[in-house]
Amino acid sequence: MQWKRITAVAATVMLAVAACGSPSSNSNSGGNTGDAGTAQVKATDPTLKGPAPEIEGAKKGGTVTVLSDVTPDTFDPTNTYFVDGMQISKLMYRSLTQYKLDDKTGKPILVPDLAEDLGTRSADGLTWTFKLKQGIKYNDGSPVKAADYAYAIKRSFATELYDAGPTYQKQFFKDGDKYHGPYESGDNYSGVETPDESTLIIHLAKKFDDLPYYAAFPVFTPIPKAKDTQKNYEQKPMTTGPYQVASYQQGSELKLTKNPNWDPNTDPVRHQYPDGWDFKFSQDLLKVQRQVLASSGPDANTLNYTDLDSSLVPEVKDQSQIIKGQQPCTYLWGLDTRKIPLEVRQLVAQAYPFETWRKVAGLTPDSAIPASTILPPAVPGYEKYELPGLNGTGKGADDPAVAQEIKGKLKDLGKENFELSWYYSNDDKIANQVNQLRTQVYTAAGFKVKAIGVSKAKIRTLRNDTKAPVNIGQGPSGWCSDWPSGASWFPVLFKSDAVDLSNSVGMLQDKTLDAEIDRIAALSPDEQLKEWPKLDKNLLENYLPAVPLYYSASAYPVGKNIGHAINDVTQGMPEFTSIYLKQP
Amino acid sequence: MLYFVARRLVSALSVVLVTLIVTFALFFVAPTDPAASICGERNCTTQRYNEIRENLHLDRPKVQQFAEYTAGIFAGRTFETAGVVQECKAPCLGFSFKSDRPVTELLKTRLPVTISLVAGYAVLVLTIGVFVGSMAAKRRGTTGDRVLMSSTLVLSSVPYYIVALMISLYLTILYPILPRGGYTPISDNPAKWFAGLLTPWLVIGVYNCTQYARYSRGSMVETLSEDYIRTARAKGLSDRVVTYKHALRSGLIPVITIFGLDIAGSLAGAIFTERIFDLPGLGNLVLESLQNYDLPVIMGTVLVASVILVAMNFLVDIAYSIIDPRVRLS
Amino acid sequence: MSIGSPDSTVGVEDHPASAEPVREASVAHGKSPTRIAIDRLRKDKLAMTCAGIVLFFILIAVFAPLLTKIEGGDISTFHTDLVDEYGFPTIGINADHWFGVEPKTGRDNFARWVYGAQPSLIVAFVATLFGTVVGVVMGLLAGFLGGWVDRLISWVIDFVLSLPYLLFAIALVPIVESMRGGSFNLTPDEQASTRFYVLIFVLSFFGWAGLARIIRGEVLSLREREFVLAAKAIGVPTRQVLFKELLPNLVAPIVISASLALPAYVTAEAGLSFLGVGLIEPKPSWGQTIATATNWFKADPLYLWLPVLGITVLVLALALLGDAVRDAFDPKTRR
Repeated sequence: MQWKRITAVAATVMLAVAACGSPSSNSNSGGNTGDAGTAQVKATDPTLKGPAPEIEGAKKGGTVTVLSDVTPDTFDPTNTYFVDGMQISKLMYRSLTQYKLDDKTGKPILVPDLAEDLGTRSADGLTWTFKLKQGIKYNDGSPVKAADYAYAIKRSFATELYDAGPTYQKQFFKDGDKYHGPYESGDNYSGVETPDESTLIIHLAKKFDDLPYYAAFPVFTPIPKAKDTQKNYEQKPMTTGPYQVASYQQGSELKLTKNPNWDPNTDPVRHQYPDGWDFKFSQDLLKVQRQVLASSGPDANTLNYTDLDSSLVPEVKDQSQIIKGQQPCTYLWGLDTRKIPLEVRQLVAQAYPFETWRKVAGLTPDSAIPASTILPPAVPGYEKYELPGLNGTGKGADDPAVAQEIKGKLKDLGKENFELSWYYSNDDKIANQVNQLRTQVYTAAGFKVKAIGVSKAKIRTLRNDTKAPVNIGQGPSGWCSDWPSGASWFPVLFKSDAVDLSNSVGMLQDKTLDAEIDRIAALSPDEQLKEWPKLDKNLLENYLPAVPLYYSASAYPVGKNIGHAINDVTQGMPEFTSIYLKQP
Repeated sequence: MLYFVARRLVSALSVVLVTLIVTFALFFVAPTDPAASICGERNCTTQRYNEIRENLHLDRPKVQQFAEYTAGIFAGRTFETAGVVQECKAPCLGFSFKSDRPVTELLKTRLPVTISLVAGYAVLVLTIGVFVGSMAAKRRGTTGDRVLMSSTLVLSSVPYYIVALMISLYLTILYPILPRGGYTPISDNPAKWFAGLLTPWLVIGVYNCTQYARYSRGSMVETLSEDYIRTARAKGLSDRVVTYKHALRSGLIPVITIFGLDIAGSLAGAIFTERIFDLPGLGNLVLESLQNYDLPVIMGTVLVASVILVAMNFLVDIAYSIIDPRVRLS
Repeated sequence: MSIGSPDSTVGVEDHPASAEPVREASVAHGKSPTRIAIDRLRKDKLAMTCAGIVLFFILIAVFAPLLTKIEGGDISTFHTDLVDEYGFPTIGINADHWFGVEPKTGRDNFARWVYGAQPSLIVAFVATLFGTVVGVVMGLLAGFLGGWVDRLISWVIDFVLSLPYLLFAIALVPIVESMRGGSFNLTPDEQASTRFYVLIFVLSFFGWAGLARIIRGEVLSLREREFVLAAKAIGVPTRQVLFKELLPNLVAPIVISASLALPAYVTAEAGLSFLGVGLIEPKPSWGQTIATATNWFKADPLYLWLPVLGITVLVLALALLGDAVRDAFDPKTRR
């Protein structure tokens, strides 16, 4: 009958899995994050020039096919914020700055892309000046003008039209709250200036020291006003990267061909080895991952950028077919510090049944590294430390002895049957099972559990309600770095004003903590690298606003013919711009 | 006759309209969250989320929204966002929340794929299903009958996803015995079009022939014991002529009915086939629009599905009177 | 000379040619068609085996708690120690876990299989029953009465078939939950049972329409037949024509539809569970198991094939039984 085939048991359409990284060696728990322990020393290199050094053994030619189960909704540079869209954009759009991955460690170094430098900050921090490279051309041969950079920035304020893009410019740029884009508010925008062809000046409303990092986003790629067809721009965009759009069918396929006007001498990061790229979306996950692993015939030139499904792990015969790496994300279980006293929070953390939970939640050693800190290893400012009992592993109160111990301690504190409450999605199978597990374990540990089941579609609103009648799991359940800097974590998640913005993990409202965070954020980037780890430890030791659960990691299958497939740690995606085909 | 057609047309339009109204209403009653899908899971701050929600304009009066939508289908609409005027010519089905593509464009690119898939499937399932059913009917009660019916039944009890996935993996990818699934427009390359669709045709055709086999067996068993069949046999007509020329006709009535329903349902139902055999058709669109709570696309697909359904049911009724001249449609 | 009553043997010797055949006193006059059918069925070994199989499944579902107790497992304990870090069960079939354990969670498969039969069977049977009864009645009325009745019912059928049933199912759950006091005030058990009833309702609501159309089509063809015209001419009331004349001739499509519907409903339940509108944890059901197990079919085949086998055997038994019933009731088929 009709509905016999409408049984839509689709492999979950997980949009933008932003998962955090594990080291690129074998699959086991964070043990070999050896290189992540040392603080990042050189995070920027303002003098790096093109061309990017040739990769040993790289050959030119052939078409790489990327088979994906997820569907990016857009490739308009102003509207791109999803992880895969951003990464694919690097093939087409160049920005003011870009990331070069260190050859040995894979760590990201910020380098100039279409700008000559990484921007010069004024003394008060409210003006940034970028020198623009000259002689850059679009894929149709026309020259890139300074006004195009300015226009792209102006375009990014039309957030009613480009509603999926990033919005930092509205927050930090001058008149960001008043200017609504060139279509509505006209061309006059006081936040950008192009006094001459080689200068771009950005005026800020408040200090934004991470602006050079933000400038790596595709939102800064130049767009000529005359070619702006708004929603149709992505069909035939002006590209400055090594590739141009040959055809784009939203939801199914994106084909890229070589951009003849890309000059490698101006580009310190990218390569143009394959002749073309063929992205196919909306495929069945298990089918394509098997296809890629089997690599027979044309499948040897394919890859997939979703974490390898755990049921396929035994089918991996050649480990070199799996790209492994870190992702800049940590997942946390927020504990409302206003409602749960510190000692009880510590018992909650002690009771967490990591071992069982990881299995029930489907987290594998490849894609989810047990976490012991807030900042993940992929982000500079991370230093490995482990507080006793808080390392993302262990049985917790699943072990009856531990459960008894916690029960006893609760009694001593006079907090027997302390009520823990949270929301969970009762129509999601895994969320349901995880909830059952947590309920069982915490009840055994002497707590009273009130778990409220709600529909998946409603849970976001409930989790963002700071006045909700629950005390666990509110606020963001995880955080991913938009750029490699601790300054995009701590001020956003742990300051008092985060509570009202519904961004707070743990609902901390501590003035001393606020002051400390502000102090560190005002330091130079290199000094920050030394201070963030201390704050991180301080937070977990003395405040415990959340139980760190895991850092997400990449484990992507690639075909046998794909060369130099490495993980780009800034996004947690393969670095497309350095891939080549071994046999084109 | 004309009166009949006119009446059916009015009835069809009213079904489509009421379906659209109910779908629209259901969307707002159901727990839906299109803004969350656009905002994504990573760093979706409440500010961004709220802004997106506002931009979707779902808080305006529902009746007004629906009225604008319906008017747009006939007269076209203009949308104004952030100073940009987007023209949407009639029939205007709006723009997808998620991708901002015009819904008509999405439907237009995907419809030929689904039609190609369904057309081949229809041919295959009718021939195989009815043939198997007739053979079983002739041998009713014997082991042959039981075996034929059981085998098709067993096959269709295995979840379709598994069958499709295994055939795709083992017969097209790992061991290229059958051609790989994929879509090439027939105008580009008819041979490639055929090759890319052959395997999916075979898979859904064979898998779904159970119901056709069973229904045709069921009604053929009845028909084969009718008097007029006995007469035909007595006249000396060959077995094959008796079965396929005389008995099949009236045996086809239930088959035609389910065929009509099946084709109408295949539109949105071939989700797995499309994902597994790399066919960018409508099924995928339906699924994703539901998961993303993409109202304009949902309405668009429901509209198309509804129109095709009423059309098919109309055609089926006409077919009844052609196959069995005794049938009088009111 | 009088013949006498049929049971007497008087007169046989005198008038052999016109005598009534000899009958034994204990034999009834004639058998009702139902009796004939049942007798035939009883003699059909295959049909009896199938009936036995169906009964077996029903018993399994009914006695699930007892069976699980014998095995010593239960449906909700997580045994993650029996599962490796990738979620693969490290044990197969053993004495403690007769069917092995589930990937990732390590829960006992046997317990989940026998308990899972319950909701899946109930949902499928009830929805099939409802869908069949309503579908047949509607189809009969529409096909036979014609006129505005037909137009109205056909309109409703078209409407029901046009509605996006997934959206409808998604929408219905919170409506019913709010009627029961709102999702915050319901315990997980109450939420699960709400979904159970909603699911049955949704499947039945969308299921009858197809059968109604099929029946209508057949009736359109049948109503012009001589026996129907004759019955009408005699003045048989409409209700009797429908149920005594037409219905027996529709046994075939009804039985076929029911036997096709049952597995389809179980798989529909699976699909809906995946989208979050079907049955939810912790209540196990074959549909949910199938939905999860499809991903693991290569890595842990047992996990998938157990519920699939359950459905297949059940459906096969039902279908063959149904065919046998149909053949038994049909006076024209002689075996």
